[in-house]
Amino acid sequence: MVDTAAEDRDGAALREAAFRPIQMPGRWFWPIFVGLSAVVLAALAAYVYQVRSGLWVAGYTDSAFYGIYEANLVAFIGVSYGGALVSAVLRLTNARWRLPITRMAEGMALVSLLIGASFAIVHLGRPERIWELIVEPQAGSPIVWDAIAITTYLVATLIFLYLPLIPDLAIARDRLGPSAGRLRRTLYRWAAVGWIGAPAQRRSLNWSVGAMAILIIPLAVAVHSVLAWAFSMTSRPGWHSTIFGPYFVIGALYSGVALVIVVVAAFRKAYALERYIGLQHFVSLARIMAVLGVIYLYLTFAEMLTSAYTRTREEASIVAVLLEGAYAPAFWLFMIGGILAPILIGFLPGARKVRYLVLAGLLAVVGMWLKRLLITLPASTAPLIGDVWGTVQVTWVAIVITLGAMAAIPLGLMILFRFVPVLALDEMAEAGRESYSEPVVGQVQTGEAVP
Amino acid sequence: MNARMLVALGLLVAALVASDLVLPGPAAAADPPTHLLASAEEREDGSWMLVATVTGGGAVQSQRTVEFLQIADFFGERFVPLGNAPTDAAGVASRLYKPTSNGLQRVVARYQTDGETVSSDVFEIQVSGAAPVLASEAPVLPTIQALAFPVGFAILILVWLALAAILLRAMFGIGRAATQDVPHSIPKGSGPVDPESTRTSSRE
Repeated sequence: MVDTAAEDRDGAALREAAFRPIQMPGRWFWPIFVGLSAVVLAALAAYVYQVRSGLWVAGYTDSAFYGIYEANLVAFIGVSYGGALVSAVLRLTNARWRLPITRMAEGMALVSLLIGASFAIVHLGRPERIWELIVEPQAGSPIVWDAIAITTYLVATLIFLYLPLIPDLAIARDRLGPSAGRLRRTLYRWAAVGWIGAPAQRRSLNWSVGAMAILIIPLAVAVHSVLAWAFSMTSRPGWHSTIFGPYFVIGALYSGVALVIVVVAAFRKAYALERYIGLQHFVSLARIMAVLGVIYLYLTFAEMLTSAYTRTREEASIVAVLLEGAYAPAFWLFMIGGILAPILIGFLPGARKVRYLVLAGLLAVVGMWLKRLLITLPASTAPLIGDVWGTVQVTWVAIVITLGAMAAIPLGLMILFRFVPVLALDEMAEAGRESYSEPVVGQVQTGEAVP
Repeated sequence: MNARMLVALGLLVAALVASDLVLPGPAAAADPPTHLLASAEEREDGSWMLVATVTGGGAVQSQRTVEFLQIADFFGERFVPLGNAPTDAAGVASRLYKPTSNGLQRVVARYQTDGETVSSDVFEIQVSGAAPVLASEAPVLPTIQALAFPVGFAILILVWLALAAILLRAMFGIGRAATQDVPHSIPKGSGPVDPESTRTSSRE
């Protein structure tokens, strides 16, 4: 009887926490929402100006044809793959500690993918011609396959987010009253597809979620490889590399886990989810991030070593410009701040505090964005005829559009979690608090109090 | 006029001449305009030596930069830099150019002086021994095209079919079982979250 009462209290508290962004977004919600929306609107205005004026206003020239947008495309899509893969791998390995963070990781995957994919259009001088990619596709073009792969992955990410949501939407349908509003209630009723929690329903759903978790892993690997091959299938020095596929995949995972740390920390703080997301969740994520960082460091070394030893003037010039040339400050900033520091923080026992681990995540995210710039810019400005390097111009248009995209990720997540529970409510309730919060026991031992 | 006066007059004339007041010297000659003569010579290995000579413009200055450009027709006429070369003491700048494609190419040289750019006449080179950067046709490409695209399309169709199957199985499975009258298995807990809520599941 006592146990039942405690379980009831736990269940009610869990629902209250999961629905908190829907019901009680907090005083800070609207000011932040308006602020982020203003940045996104400024970016849209800058894009309209760019379409009317031409790509030169974004700093594109004949000799610097890939600018900041291509780096944004790879970086944003990369973190999306990372979020989805983290969720899928942890689901398949039955790591129950993932339960409180899995919804945020899947939401982040969807939102960042939508924003990243939009840069494929932003960096077109004539965006209306994207229609020709559909009506007159060239099967030999990596860009066509890139578009197909991203579209396929977008649909898969949407399904991967939606399927585990069905029971939670049913709970929202049944539990949230008129204060949820007509739009939400209609959405819940429609999207819950008649879920009542019957065993047969659960069997069907579990099968589909498991199959989706299996399918999305090779899909994400293949899709990010295709994105990498869009670079490496060209004959430009710095891009024509056989390891670009795995290099991009590991980079995506590394930056994706890093952003999951940041996103989870932000929502944990904003919606007071400390009861469900403890230090050990961050420690576990940071360890995964650090291991991926080590692999990425190794691949970076392998890529640069082989390029430096080719004795091909063009290849060697790319390595030289990164190590000691115009791009050297950015490269070494990435190496120290974006790779070595997050790895150290992730592994050091003394750094096991949420703020340090979030700092490591932020460093990795920013560092990997810088790395994507270092992949795109030197190679796109390297001369193929003669020896005059192109000059990259960073213009206000490109900066505003990039800032708008960065603001769109938290904005998109804030909007998403105004409609869907921020925690995997049904799965957490089914698993029981002990299973997903078990690692948090270590939190007490390491000195941080559990609220 | 005594001798003393003659000496004084002579000194005065000499001083005036020396100070250019009475007999100014010829006007300072204007520097001839700067010209740039450019040409190219083909070498045995198929490369070309581009040469530009700066003439005029006063004293020849060494270590000034001459820029060689190819005039390409690519979405309109545009200049593709071939490279720079410094002038020597005789005003001659030269650099090796290894073309990567055959055919007639138009080349021009540019010389940056203080505040103005001097261009040479455009000259043409007929390239026949270029060492192309890209193979005209990679030997394995036809095989890849013959195999990879059908395989790629087949995998793509399989993926979409799998996505559809997963989604439909979930939808139909949930929908079919929804008609069964079984207890609602929502998380354990009491009462609705929303205190204003008047609706709870009829199956609870």
